[in-house]
Amino acid sequence: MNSRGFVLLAAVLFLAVLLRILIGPVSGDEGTRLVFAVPSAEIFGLRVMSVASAAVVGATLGLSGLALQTLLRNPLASPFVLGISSGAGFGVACVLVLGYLFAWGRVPWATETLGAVFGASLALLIVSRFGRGGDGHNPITLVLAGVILGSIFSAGSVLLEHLVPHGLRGDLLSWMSGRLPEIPNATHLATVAGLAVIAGTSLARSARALDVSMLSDDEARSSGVNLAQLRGKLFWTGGILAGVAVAYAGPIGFVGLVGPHLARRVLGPHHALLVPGAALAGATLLVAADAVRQVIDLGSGRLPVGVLTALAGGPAFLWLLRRGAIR
Amino acid sequence: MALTPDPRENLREVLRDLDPATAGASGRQRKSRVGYLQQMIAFGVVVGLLWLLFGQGSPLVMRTTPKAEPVSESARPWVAVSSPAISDTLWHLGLVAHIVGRSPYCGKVPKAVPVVGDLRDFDAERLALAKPDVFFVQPPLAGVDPALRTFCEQSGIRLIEHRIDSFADTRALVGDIAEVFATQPRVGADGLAGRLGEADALFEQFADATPLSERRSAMPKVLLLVSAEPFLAVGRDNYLDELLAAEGFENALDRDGWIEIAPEAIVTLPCDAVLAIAESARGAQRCNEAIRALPWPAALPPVAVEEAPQLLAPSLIALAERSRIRKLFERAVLTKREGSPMVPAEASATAPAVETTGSSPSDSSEQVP
Repeated sequence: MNSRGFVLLAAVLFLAVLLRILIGPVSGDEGTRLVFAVPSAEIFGLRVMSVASAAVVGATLGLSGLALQTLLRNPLASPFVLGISSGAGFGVACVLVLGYLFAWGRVPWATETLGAVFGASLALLIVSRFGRGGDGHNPITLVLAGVILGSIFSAGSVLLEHLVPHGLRGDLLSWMSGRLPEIPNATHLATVAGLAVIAGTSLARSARALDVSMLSDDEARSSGVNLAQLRGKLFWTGGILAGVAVAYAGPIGFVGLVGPHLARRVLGPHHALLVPGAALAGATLLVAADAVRQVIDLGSGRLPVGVLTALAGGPAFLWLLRRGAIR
Repeated sequence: MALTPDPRENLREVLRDLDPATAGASGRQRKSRVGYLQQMIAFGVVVGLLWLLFGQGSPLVMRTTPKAEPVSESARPWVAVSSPAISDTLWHLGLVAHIVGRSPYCGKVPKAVPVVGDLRDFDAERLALAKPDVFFVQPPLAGVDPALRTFCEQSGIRLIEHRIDSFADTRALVGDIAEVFATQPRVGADGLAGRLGEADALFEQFADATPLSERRSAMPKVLLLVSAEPFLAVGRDNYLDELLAAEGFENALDRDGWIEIAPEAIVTLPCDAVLAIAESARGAQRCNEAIRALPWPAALPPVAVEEAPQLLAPSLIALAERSRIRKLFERAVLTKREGSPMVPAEASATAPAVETTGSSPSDSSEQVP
């Protein structure tokens, strides 16, 4: 099942990539219409970069979600649900506002990323502390804390908007809706991809320890796992990946939740497979969502990709609730 | 991270128990695979439905992308625009046929023209397909997206950026439009030169009508609202404030920008009239009701509300129709003089309407003569 699972995930990703590359608008005498055809070289180049952008962000979010679900032993953990994306967004908003107040000019992306990682880590720290129950994290408390924290950070971002002039408010607002850069800055894209590869490799190398960490603390310790060190690694991996993804594409919901679950269902619970599987599934989800939004043409421009991931991820979240993922 | 030798089979069993997808006997695994197959089929059905609803040939898509008039080579240069202020100005100059890409908010451009972006984002693929010669962009305060700049450089599209906050900015935009179209003899023959001359005259008249700031304190004070949900008022240092001044009014607010204003601040603000302009007739109606429902401590000041979307973008159209501000004020005063009584807040729901007018002086698809 495992090798077939990988083949299946790879096949679905290939299909999504194919759809994204072959479906698109053409202009003609009959107006703009969608066609399923091989595009011109120029358009092909655009679509390939768009696919690369979506795949890298999706894989990053998938890995981040997996790290958080393993860290908190909670199947509902993900950057979006736990308010970590909102925390990262707040971090970026702080940097943008500081940039305005101190007249830094256009804030460098590296500074935005640092702000996002700081905000994501802060959110993770808070939610982790408040979600702690008697013996470890209580899943329901954790999710509730995440929802509340997300609201607080979102409100904080709105508050910050009022510190800047009217024209800059729109910049913050549009950034918060989440969007995939279609003409990505090569350095930014390579940075996100590089971090995802490093984090994925690091997680894969700890796969057996991650498996054991899903048992009780005592059992894990008796197996020789240094839980504190492992959790530190998961904490920073989840926080940094979420922060970097948010700095690059804004908050895109539910990919970090659904990606690891999809991989778990196809590949099983072993982290040696789950780590690359979560990345693959996350990439598949976001590329597929990007392909579907090309098809939806309501005459007002394309929908933000976050709308589609929420439309797909929201029901998945409810389904997880219904099948008793929270115990 | 080193692990001590541990019974791996036991661990596998525990992990299987932890995960419902792989838990238990082979029967359950088969069941899980069947369930997985069902989910994949369901996914396929959902994608198919989405395709039927929104894909090629669906009624929805046909409705939203109607047949466009083919843009001919004679309509060169082709231009794309990212804001209604720019498209309205092009429309006023009779150049709307040259627009091959628009933003969703460009009301004067036919819906068949593809959406290639807005104030903050752009659709690279549709922009590449539209093949404009020039892309007029109204960037946000942070500046043009570097990716857009790179894309335009690589695609041979000339990027012209204008922040349009005042009519001086609009005039600079008209100057650039004139420069872009100057080398096109066909356009000149169609009378662009004449329309540019008229535009120039409008700017001159506007400049002449604008009083010196020290004279403004003697003019009637007006609060100009552009939304009632929440109350959004026009502050200083923007094109509507300039319009107020040119029409002989002092802005009742002395803060810059667009101000979200509390109801109690409105009713205590010393002003001679409250005017409101709205995007739609429904918006005008809501504005009217909201203003009436305010707990005015004394008499209701002169109030007039009007649907005037053409004033909501700093374009040539707004400049050409600036007299509507004065007419709105006159209507408010007239309505008050003719006996519109103070309306208590609790009676607002049944109160007769304050002067509200709908206006659509020109159909959006109609070209300026």
